[in-house]
Amino acid sequence: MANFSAELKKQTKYKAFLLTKRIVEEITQNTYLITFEEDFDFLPGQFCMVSVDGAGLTRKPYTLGRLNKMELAISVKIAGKGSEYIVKTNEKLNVLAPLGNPFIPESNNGAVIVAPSCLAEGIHLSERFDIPLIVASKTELNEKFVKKFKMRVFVGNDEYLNLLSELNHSAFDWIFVSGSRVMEELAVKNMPNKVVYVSLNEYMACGIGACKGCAVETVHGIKHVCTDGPVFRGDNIWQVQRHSD
Amino acid sequence: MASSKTLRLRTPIVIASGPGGFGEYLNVDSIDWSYVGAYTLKTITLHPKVGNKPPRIYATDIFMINRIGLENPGFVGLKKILDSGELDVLLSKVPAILSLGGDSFEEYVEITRLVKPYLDKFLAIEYNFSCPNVHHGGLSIMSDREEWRKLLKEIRKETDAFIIAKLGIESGFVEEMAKIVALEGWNGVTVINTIRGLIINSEGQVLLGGLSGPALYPIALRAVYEVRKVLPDIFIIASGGIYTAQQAKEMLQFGANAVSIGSALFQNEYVINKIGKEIVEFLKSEEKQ
Repeated sequence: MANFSAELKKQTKYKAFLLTKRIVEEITQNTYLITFEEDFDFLPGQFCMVSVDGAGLTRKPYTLGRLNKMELAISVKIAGKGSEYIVKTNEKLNVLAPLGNPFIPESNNGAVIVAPSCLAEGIHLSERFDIPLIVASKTELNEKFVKKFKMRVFVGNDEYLNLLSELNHSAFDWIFVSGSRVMEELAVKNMPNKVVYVSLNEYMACGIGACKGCAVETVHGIKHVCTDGPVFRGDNIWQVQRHSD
Repeated sequence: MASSKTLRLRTPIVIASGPGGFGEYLNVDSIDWSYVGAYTLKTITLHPKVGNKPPRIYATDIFMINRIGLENPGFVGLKKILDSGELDVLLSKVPAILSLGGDSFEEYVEITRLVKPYLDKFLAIEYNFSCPNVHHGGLSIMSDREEWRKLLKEIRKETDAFIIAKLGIESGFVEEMAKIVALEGWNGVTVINTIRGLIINSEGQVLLGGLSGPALYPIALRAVYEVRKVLPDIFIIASGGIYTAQQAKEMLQFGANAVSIGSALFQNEYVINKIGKEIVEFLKSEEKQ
């Protein structure tokens, strides 16, 4: 409840933007990168809620990204009619943004791991903080992306677990992970030596703190992804067994 | 004792309790608040509630299910934001209705007493007697009809505010419940609340919660129709599945005094402007005739 009055104090203004798609490209099976003609200010880690018109009852949340430090972008995995609409429509998209808290790392000595569904955010963080971009995917990525953006790609569970083991013993101070809940949990539990940040993706209805729908259990009790997150320290979400060397 | 107060709304559009939170939509700059007659705040209970464990929400094309569990900061939290003036930003833009709930007879009465010093800030109090997502209070407070009647009587004795009972359809015929509300001297009813539903989400998790969204609309319209038939004078706020101006008009035509926008905010909050504009024009054209 501590954030209750803080929320009211913030008086943050959210704006609904009408965005024209510039390019829609398949990153991997069923997952697309969408770039826009228009732009607006946002900070790393923040997200937006995209209206799906009549194709669903709630706006859908996507983390925001920017390519080449200039082109506004989101990545979308088709998971139902709403996300399918977002990828396929030729209409402008109505996007409420920017939402959530920015991610402010304590140093630039970090790395970012994203699923293809969060690639736009990953590219943005990588360029913004000048840190390595790693993509963990279940399926092969479109070769074009791998060439265009400097990234390491790991395909399949075994490669992902090997990566986590490697990063756990790396010199990075922190690792930022944005993907499925399973992927994030694995990262937190398999990199106990590192500070791991996760960008959570809970089902959302409003995205602005009104409905209290996107609750998550943390070690500090119930929090809300939209107003307390979307980025949390992994050890606030999952218990981590740290080894003393 | 019946209150002689009346409720005059600048427009018949009301933000529903729950989806609108505690005024967060004021931060969305596309909404024209002159179209809104009242913003009903999220239900406040005597004691703070952390709400239910996640997952709390899931939607299909025609309905959604939520099991928030009345998460709220309790009277202490309400008092804090009222005393500090934090709610004044909201109140300066749009009149508000306070929504109260409780886990027991005593809690409903106690919070009624506690909010008395603040009632000049609100147009009315809506009592939530129909939340399906709490084990005590909410919908379950109505399961003992006599006890509920006593509670209505007790609240009426405690306050001369404009009081509205928010009713669901799962505790008997809604018009019969509304008759009890009217007999006890209350001023209005909000019909309906969410209906208990069950859904399995994409992760295979079972959500037991309250069903809202477009699927609720014909049920809510029938409820308004039935209540108006037996109670010509009671103030009715129609609530349930209203997504279009046409639906809002139908609600008004079948006897509602105001219409409540809830889950539709999640699809696109601009719905307020769309419905508001058409309804204001509709009412103007009605006046001319």
